[in-house]
Amino acid sequence: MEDANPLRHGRRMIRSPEACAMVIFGGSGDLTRRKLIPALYNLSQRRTIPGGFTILSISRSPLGDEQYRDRLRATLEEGGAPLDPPTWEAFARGIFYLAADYRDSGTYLKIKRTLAELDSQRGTDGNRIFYLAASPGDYDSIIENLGSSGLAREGAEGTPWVRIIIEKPFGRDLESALALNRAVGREFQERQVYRIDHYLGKETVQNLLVFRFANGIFEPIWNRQYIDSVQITAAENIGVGTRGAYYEEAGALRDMIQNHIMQLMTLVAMEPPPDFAPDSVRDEKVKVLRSVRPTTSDEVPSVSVRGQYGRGIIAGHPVVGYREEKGVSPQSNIETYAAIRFTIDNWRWAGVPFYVRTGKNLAKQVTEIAILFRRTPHLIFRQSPAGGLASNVLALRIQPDEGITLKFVAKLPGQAMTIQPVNMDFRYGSTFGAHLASAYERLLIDCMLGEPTLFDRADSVEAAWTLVEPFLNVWSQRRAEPIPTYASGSWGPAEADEILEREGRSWRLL
Amino acid sequence: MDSPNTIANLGTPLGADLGSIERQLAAFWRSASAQPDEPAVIKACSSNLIVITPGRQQAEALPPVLADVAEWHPCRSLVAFQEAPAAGSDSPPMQGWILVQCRSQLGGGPQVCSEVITIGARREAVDDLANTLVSLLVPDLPVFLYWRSPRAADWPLVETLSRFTDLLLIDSDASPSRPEDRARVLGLFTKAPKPVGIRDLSWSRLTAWRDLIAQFFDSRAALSQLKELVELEISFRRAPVESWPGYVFLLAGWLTSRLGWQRASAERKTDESVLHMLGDGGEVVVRLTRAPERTKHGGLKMVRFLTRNGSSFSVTRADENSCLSSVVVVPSMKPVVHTVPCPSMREADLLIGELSLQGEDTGFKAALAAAMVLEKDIKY
Repeated sequence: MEDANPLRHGRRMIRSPEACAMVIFGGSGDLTRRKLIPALYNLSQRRTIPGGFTILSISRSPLGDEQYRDRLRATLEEGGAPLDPPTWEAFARGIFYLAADYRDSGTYLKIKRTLAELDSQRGTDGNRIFYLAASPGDYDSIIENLGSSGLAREGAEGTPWVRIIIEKPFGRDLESALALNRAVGREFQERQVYRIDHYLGKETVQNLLVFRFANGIFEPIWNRQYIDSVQITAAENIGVGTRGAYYEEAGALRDMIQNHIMQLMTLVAMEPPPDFAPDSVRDEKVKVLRSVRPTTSDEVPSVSVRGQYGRGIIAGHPVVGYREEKGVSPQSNIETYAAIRFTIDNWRWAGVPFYVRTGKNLAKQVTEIAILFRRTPHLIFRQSPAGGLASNVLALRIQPDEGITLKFVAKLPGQAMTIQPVNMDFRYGSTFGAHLASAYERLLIDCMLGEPTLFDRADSVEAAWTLVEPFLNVWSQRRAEPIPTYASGSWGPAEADEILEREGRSWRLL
Repeated sequence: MDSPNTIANLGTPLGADLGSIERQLAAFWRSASAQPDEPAVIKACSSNLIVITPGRQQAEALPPVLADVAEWHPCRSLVAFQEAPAAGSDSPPMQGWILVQCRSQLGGGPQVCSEVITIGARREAVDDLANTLVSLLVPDLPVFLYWRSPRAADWPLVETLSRFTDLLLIDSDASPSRPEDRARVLGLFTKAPKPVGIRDLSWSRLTAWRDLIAQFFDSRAALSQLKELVELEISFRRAPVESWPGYVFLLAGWLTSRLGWQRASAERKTDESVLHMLGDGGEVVVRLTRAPERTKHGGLKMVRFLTRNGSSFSVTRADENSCLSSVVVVPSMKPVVHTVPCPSMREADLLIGELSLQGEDTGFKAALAAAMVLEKDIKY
């Protein structure tokens, strides 16, 4: 009874954190209004976070508490059903706003004072989460000021606790990532740091671990003996929209491959951890990244392709090319498509290529991991040569239509021994209902509970940047050269097919 | 949730030839996949759900509930009931009906369908009902048994089926509860050779209350208040029939067992029972209070803790349709209010919630045991 709440006992009473104050830098930004606040409101509605939970939003816009609450309410109502007035009002009473400059050290004294008042008013007991949802250019200043003002300091034995959530991008290359990690490390201990990649909050991504390590039948064949290659696709059928200016600085490699796709690759390729403890899982993930063969500058052209979308038609509607998008230079050579072949040098994966691709304005919105198995060594059915048979494929769909499909071949009914591929399908929507919680809900509650398994560690971020660095460098040196273009609504530049065709393979048609 | 489409209601009783159930279903699935102009269908099944209902009328009302459950937990549902003695004696001793219910998926795609098989047995065939039900289970999938309105006559069937069951669900609010019934339920937890996991929808209805109550003491500062508690009041509304509902004892049993309070004495009044208990911090008075108003379904009205330093922690529900509000009042602090919507109390939603929880609910087992002691103290 001394250490734990005795009423938190039993299977349905386990996941509820202590009251805390979440300080959001970037409080008037899109991420806060469209993702964080809806996620926190849903958690409050479902009784997952306690009554004393408090939000202190910081931003430069001059707003009062009530004005800010009204704006949030309007955004929530735009996004869904009308709010239930009593539940919104109780939730909104815990939201406060401070108009301030992140770079001014005086801001942090105001934050400190406000938090002390909120502690006594709302019982948050000094527990804090600082959420960096501001522009990445402000991260250094915020982190340094949190340190110098004493706000980053925890109490004795971690009570009260202080945590920091850092929204991606974690740097824009290896050097800046190292600098950011150093800056964070000066003010916070690594256990206080939660680097958020919302892909890891998706149910289907977490299900990858369950699928691999809770089913006895897959792990024995999850290796080079049985697997021919792996394809990871994260395709979007929309362009950069209003994010043109951001994208000009990022590109597909930084925006998707360095983080989301690397995460998926580590989950597919990692060894079974001894348990589901945070560092057991994260240790195995980082081992995968360290096992990926580094690409030399000379190799970059032969194992990668970049591209940029031109005009085209998507879902029957004409769309503009990237260079015509708002905030984009008409001469831009930023890639909106990237495909790379990675090789993992370890006993499990030696010789198994991992092909990854991502792009905007592609034919379809789909994220999937496909495990392509080796063909049978010898086919006894003479009419169907083994080489002509499709190989078995296990496709793990992350979004949309989340699920798992296993492709195998079966005999067509009839006298002839005709063989045809068939799919065995599992769909989340059909099996568990269609309502999956948002990734942010899961990750926010994990941070409040102090569970970092689904967050990135410094070493893993650095390892991922190390792997993409050669591509960044070579592509940056070639900015003056024309970038291959692809028609919007297609599956990307033709050059991307050649990477696989050279090895007798082809991209899956999704 | 959308209404399900019934795409096959094979309403004609199948008579004594219950073996034809599987054949008829197989024929249906073959024909459904061969209809080029009809929407495609998928049969989904990840568990078996046996439902024991008191009679034909209740069985006939079940398919919409089962369709909603199957949307989250695709299953083959087997509904069993005992025909009333007055049922025609010329009817066969056991009859079956089959139904296939389908639902469209969000964003299109094939309809997802599940099977409902209803079996009615006359008194002389009741002993064979368990074997029939077992023969209709889909192999290798978990078996859930839902005893919808516990009553003495169904005990032999429940005890037989519990040997094949992974989880027994009951709804102790659905029938008048007697201490001996609770004791028998408790006995199933340790039944040899195979103990049965048990869940009670009455306990599920308390989850939102228990969540909010537990949240009061999640912080370390508030945790120390547990030793300062001097009073607990649980107030409930009268329902038309039941005067001392079981859920009040379950909630009180949960709190007293988890907080380690020991009973010292009890006083029983007309609308209030008072238990004097001993906790870590000294004496605690537990009041179970019947509110004067009488409502259709009864239900909890308020749970409130008072401490010796003047703090209070309460969860209230203003009326049957309102949200739940928790309020923390600590001297020198503004009251902290947390208001949440009342979770759905629909039977289907409660079942979906219970089937989503894995493993034994040890909290319920301890609460039930403590509730029985409190009930005995107060009622008898």
